Amino acid sequence: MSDFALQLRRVTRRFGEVTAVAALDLHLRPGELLALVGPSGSGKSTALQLIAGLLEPDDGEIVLKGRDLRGLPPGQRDVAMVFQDGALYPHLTVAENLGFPLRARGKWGQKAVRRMAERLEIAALLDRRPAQLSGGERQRVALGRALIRHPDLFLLDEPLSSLDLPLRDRMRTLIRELVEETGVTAIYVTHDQAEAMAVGDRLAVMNQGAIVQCGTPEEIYRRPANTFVACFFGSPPMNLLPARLERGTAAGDWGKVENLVGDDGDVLLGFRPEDATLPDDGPLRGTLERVDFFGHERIAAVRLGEHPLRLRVGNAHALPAPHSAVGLTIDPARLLIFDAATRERRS
Amino acid sequence: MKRGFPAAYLLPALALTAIVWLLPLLYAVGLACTDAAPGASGRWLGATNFLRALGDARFGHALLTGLLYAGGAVILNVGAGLLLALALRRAARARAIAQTLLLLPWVLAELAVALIWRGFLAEDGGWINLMIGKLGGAALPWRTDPFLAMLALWIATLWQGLAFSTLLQMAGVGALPEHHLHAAKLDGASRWLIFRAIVWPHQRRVIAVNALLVFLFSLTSFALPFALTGGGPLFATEVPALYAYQTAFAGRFELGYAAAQGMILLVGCALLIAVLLRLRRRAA
Amino acid sequence: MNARRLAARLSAALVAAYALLPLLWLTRLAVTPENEIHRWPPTLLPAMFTLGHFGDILGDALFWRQMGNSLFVCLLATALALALGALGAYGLARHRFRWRDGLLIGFLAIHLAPGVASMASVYRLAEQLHALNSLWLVALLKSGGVTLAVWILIATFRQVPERLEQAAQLDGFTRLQALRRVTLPLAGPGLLTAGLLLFIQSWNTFFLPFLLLEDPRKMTLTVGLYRYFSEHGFEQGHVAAFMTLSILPVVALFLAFRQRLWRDLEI
Repeated sequence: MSDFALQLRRVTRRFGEVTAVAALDLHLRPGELLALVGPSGSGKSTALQLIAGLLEPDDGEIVLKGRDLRGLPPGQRDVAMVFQDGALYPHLTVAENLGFPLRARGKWGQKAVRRMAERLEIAALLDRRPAQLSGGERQRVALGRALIRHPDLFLLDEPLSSLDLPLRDRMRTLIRELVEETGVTAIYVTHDQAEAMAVGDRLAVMNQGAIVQCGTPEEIYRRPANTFVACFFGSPPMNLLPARLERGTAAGDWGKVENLVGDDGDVLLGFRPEDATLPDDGPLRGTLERVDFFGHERIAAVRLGEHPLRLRVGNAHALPAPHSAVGLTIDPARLLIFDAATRERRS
Repeated sequence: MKRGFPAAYLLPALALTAIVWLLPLLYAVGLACTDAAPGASGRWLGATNFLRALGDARFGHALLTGLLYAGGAVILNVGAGLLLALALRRAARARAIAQTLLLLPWVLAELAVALIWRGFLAEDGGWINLMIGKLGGAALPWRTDPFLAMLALWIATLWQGLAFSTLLQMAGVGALPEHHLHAAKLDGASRWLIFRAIVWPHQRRVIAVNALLVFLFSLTSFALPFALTGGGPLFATEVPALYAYQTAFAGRFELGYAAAQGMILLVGCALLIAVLLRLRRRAA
Repeated sequence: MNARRLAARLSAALVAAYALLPLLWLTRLAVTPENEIHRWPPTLLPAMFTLGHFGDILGDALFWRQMGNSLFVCLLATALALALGALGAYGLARHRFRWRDGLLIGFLAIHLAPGVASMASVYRLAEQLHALNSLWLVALLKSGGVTLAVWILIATFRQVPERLEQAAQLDGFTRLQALRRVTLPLAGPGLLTAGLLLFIQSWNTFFLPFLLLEDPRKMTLTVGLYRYFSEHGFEQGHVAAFMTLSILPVVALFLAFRQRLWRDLEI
């Protein structure tokens, strides 16, 4: 018996010629909230439907709390799901929507419906129909409908993407609270990297049908496994500079950085926008092209040789006028080295 | 959306369709090659019945009569439907009233429509002739004048079919580009120019579909001419379905020859249906 | 501007008169005593009024029998066509396969095929099956409306999101239960429209039952109406009363559901 609540082993699903999910491995601890994140078309929604039983895998196994889910219809897997649009039943009231999964199990559960409605602060809406609800209210009902029967696994498929930005923050907090209170194991699918980092205990990054990296938000952000993850997370994304590494010194047409550790070869140097100091009398000289003001910070667009960089600058520093030369220093301790050919991180 | 043929869902409907529609049609092909009569299977004749139809002046006349009837019905129904749809475009209240008024004849049996108009146009007691009489005119001989008999068919067909054509045209008219109409009016375009330059190109396909549907229904219609004019006077309104009925059941009892006539009609209709489906597909 | 308004009013009145006058004429005829009808010179409105014609028709056992025959044929044909049509339309709406579009077009084409093409063969088949005068056969043939049902209902089922069925399955229902609790209620209005159309169409059918039903006791009401007209043509008041009663069921259905019919047919 393993410690994992959910295990996917080498799960594969093809649609004709296209392999949507390729040999997927995934392990979730009980009570964990995993954010499954990737660009659109990366296979994350397909993975979710495979777990829910809305699709059957061509290969591999899915084990939930020791039960093999293969061949089980969706209704017998004890998996609950919140869809992007909520998928509320338009012909039923809020109360009937909430109680629907209980009815499927031959229970009435009016008390449970009321308790859930009060927890979600929608008790006043119980007699309304979905068409009379706002987007946020609809997603609350969808959350309640999924959790009211205490499922073994809780799936969320882009649950906030149809909501306005300010509302998303509050709903995200609510989802985290609900998962903590009920102790349910949950997978949260999103294409929004910031949302994934904010919501997940751990992140699983998908690209082209496979998991590229799994880890805490901090690990993913600080130590991305390859340039894809490095550039997918963070806004603006990680800066990459091509260079040749020889005896601890990386040099390119843009200048050089010393005191690095690693084997010789062609590399890409990666650093976050906040990992360089500007302006500075450092060894690297570039051109300041533009500064965008965001209130709590500024983002400077700098050209280093032919390479455009985006750098985060505090409000305290004075910056020279646009189109003038500027010096900068990259923190060697924060610098990541990727192999130029494989694009994997070397150290 | 799943892939693969959903046999469990589709087979019952397909089986029913095969039994009710395809089986009689296939049987009709065989029947058309015999001289079967009610109560007798008859001998195999090959293509004789088809050749006979080609040389049968009464069959040719019936076809021409059918074409005349259907053509007139198309002009009346499509024209009136389009005019009404355009007139009702902006008038919500009038549209609500029109709904009830127009759909009412549409839900009636074709036979009832025929009998109603037969009485309504009658020379004694029909309201049309009564009114003409009050105005000092002579009664119109609807059942003895060839042209008036055809006109009666057209009037009754329009009475029943106006709702259908109006509905169809309304769907297209509802999607007329409003800002183009406004712009044309500001440019000082006449009503005729607006119709030709904006309404017609936009509505062309709907008009074609409407015309073909009305044409198909009228060309093969039976109950209306059967009960309104009975094909008369003489053969002035004997459409193909009436002649086929006469051939099979009224005195001559030539089921085989009637089946052959039906087959020829079916081929003609199949061509029209093919055109119609092509139009529909391009519209979609 | 005023002249245009007047013209609009006038043409509206003309259209209304065209639509309504024949029906008013029918009603007038049905409530006028027979000897009044033939009074010369005739008048637009009757001088006397009677409900006797309706009484005579309603007292006729044959009328009730034919009404029952019509109900039997229509309910059976509508139920069969609607059930199989709904099943087929659902399959077509939820599955993608190679010949799907061709099949759909086939259903429509068959629906448009002229009845006269199979007139002789249907009669001969019925004869050989010893099924002349069989209401079961007429009902079966009228259930050919299944092609129309498929065509209407496929749009209905496409409007019910597949997502909702998936949600219901995740909530713990089987596929069939999900269909019954979620898809069917949501497809209800479309099913109702299709059912109404099928029923009205079967009720109004004349050609087919006219060929196959020769025994007056087996006739449907529409065929019965023609027979009554042929045999009692001179009692115009009675014919009008018979006709009014025979179209009453569909007119009542239509008046009850006219909003829905008009809206759903505006494709």
